[in-house]
Amino acid sequence: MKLKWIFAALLLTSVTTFAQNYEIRPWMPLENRIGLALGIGSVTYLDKNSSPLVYQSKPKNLRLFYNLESNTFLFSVDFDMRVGSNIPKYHKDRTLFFQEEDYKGNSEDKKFPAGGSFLAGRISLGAYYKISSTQESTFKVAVGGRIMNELFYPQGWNTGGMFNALSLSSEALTQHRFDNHHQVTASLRIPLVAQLTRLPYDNTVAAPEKNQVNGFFRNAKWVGPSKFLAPAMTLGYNYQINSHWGTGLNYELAWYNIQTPQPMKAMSQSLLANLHHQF
Amino acid sequence: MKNRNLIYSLVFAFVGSTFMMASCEEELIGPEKANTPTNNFELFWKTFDEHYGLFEVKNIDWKAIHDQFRSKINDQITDEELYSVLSDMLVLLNDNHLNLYPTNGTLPVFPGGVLSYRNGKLEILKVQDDYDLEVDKTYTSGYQQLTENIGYGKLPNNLAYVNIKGTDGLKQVENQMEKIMADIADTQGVVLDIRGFYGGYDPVSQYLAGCFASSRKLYMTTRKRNGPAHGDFTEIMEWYVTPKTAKPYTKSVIMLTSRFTQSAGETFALAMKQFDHIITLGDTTAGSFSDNPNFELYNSWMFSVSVGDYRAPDGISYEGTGLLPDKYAKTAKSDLLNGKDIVLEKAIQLLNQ
Repeated sequence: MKLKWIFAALLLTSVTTFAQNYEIRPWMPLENRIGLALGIGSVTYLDKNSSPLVYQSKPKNLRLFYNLESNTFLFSVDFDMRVGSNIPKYHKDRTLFFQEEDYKGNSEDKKFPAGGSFLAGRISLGAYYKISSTQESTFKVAVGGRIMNELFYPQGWNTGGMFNALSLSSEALTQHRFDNHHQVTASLRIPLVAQLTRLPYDNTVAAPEKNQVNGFFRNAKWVGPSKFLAPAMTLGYNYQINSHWGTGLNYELAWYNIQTPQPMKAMSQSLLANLHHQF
Repeated sequence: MKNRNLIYSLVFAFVGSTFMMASCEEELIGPEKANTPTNNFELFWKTFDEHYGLFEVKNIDWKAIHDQFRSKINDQITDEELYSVLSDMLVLLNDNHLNLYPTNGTLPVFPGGVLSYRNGKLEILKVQDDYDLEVDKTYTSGYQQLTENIGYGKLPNNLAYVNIKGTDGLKQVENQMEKIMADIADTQGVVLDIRGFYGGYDPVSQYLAGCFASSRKLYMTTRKRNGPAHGDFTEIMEWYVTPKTAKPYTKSVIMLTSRFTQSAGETFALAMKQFDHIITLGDTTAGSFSDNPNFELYNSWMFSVSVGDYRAPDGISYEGTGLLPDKYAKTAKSDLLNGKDIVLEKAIQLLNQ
């Protein structure tokens, strides 16, 4: 964990030095930006549909992003994937003990940890209107919406924590420029409506002539914030290395309050270092 | 220098934000209730009360079972004592699908296992001693294990032996069954062995049964708990078996069953029993049809619960009793140890008649 923080700090320090030799270009030009981000995070949840235990995963995070900016609009497309182990937060060392024997009289004791895995994926498409400002402004605001599909897919001995949400959110973005190299961003996103898929009350998916994926998605239904409340905020720091390359750090915090079929609450955090190319 | 200070400040802010939000985690997620034997017992009882699908079918007074065992519970009892109480409660439900998984590494997983009445007493059969695929392979030629759970070979006198011991992915099963059905199409009869079919995914069983179906037939209805009252159930779903593959097998089939044929193996058997060209031979099936997802206790132990009410087309539930074979036969442990499978030999004999 410490090594990751040191790596992020070193990355930023080195690119600061490297960038001194490049010509400075105007901030927030009309451009395409494509980038790759890697990082770490944590996902914590309590899904009362199948368990009273708080589960926690600390997944690795990979994100691909593309931004397109015009005079008045900003568009973004993100692909995000997280993979990690998944265990009950306060019962990390639980072990199962099986006693097996066969008809020939052979017996065997088997012990192994009752662990699990966590996979999350997200595809999102955002469109924002830039509230009037000049190219030289140091503070800018954009408002808009985001269509996003997000999947939580924990696997293990228990089915808790699983959901898929195709949501439409309202979102506000702000950017503040310190100088030609440094800028910070922040955003707040609140889903307004979502097509939410959860395991049903009985926690099973089997249905006639349906594979497991189709069996899961047959439970999809449209819900509002009373059933799916998932505000999220991001904080970002970007460093412009030269006219084509930049780097940065992004922190994201999301809280989920799902009320169907039984309550599930989750908190997700991620911290990613990114490298992006502008053209 | 100014830039570096800014960067360090931002990194510090990120770290600070993370720690700040982590400290709010309990408020945002909710606390876990105290891990005490009393709380665990009550949660175990309540989870069954709100999810078990067979109280009405089995005419079980679950409240009375609570009262029967509650007096044995206090916050000073050991894990062993709690394990003993919870497993005793499971046995009373006479349900092969109920398992208790202690997670302290010292208490063994309690298998609701395969239940059998012997001398008027309910016993858990821990070891299957009436079937061994390795013995059965010696009766065949060219046995091939095509998937993890499906294999087949040829028997003398133009017969085939097909063994199913579970369900794999539906696409994989579809691909492999096309090959098998084409290969056995010209045989005089098939021995279909599901004595080791311990479970899997019901829609795959539905497909497999379709490989031996002569027409479309209703074979099962299911409903599952969808609320806390014992009568809270989803709408009934109807399961039909429909001919599958280019060449569904409609000549004589002898299907071998045992007390260990259960879960998706048992829903498969129920589908197959709808057809006249299929005769079942062996022992009664386990009597555990329903899906059984895992739930958890505050001490992190896990347990499975049968959440469904599965029935034959005539409305009869075979949960807890199992499906009777058309012809009873059983291979003894001593036979298996001598490399003989009496049930398989009888099936071959029947097909040769």
